[in-house]
Amino acid sequence: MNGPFVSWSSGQRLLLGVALLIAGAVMLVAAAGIAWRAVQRWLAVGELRAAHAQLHRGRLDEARRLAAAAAERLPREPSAQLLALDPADPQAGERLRALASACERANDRHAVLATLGLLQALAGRAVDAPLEGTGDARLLAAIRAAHGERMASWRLVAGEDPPQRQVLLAAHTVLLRQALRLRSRDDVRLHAGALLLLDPGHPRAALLRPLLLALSPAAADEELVRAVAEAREESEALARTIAALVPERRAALTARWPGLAEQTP
Amino acid sequence: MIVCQACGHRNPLRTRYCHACGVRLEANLREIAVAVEEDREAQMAERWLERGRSLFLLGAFFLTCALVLRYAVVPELPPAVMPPIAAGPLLPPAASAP
Repeated sequence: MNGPFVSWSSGQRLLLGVALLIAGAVMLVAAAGIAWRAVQRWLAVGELRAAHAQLHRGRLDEARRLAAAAAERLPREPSAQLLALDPADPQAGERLRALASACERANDRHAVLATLGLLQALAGRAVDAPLEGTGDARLLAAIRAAHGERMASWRLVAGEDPPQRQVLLAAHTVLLRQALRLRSRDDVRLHAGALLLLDPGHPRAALLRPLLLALSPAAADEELVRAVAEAREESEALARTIAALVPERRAALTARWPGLAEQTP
Repeated sequence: MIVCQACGHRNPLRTRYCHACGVRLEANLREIAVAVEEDREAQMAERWLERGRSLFLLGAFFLTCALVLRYAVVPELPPAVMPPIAAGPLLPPAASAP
């Protein structure tokens, strides 16, 4: 490195030395910053992967705790922020809007907007999240329509972005509730079956399986009564719902839960 | 530096005969003082250049390592996943049954 500078005067060499010293110091500081952020990102990736694994096992609290730790490391990353979000937080809507505008990846933005839209639809408010051209928009419209006396439905269109799994689960849950209220057997079968297919470890599987059993002509009454009893503290409410939906099962259920005779119309 | 009185060649300190023409060098005290000062400055400049070069190379090395760590070693973040959102109870309230 001395080669080109041999003919330089002492002053010039001194100046070059100081300039190299400053440049070296700046590069060291920049390297430290980049390395620190890289390590934080690496740790956050590990925490997010662990959070997703916990989510698949149904451990929501643990998943949220890990995602919150990742979100603390990466305050501007939607993948960390979204999973750490508490849907019950009154500020959730504003946080989601800010997050959507900060998203760099289209898929991340879609997930953030779908979350915002689902929160709005479940609260009975108009959905203003821009989700046109996605299956989520149709599902959210069905959720909003599920309070009426006509069974709400939707149809997914080829070429549209597929809906988010959580929106699909919420739509099937809301429509199952409407189907039970309207005593629409085909829709109960459709939505209860879809919920179990989408999430075999569904936290309410103990309620979903007896509903499907009650609608299956192949299932014996004894089998149904056993399945309803497995719902434990909710078994009587479930038995009442099934008795209203499938009157031919009422006798078997009343024999096990005598209180149904007076309660069920 | 000691300047040769015959040919003008600049010789380093502690030189008795000119490196260019071989004449015995004659230097007065003022010239020696100037030469000593120049030599001190040259050594200082050399030290600063050496320090600067070392720190520059160190910085470049660590910056390269940091960039490799950030863009080649650290994996991509997983895509954003919606948090589970409770859609209310599964069974309708008993009172709303038709």
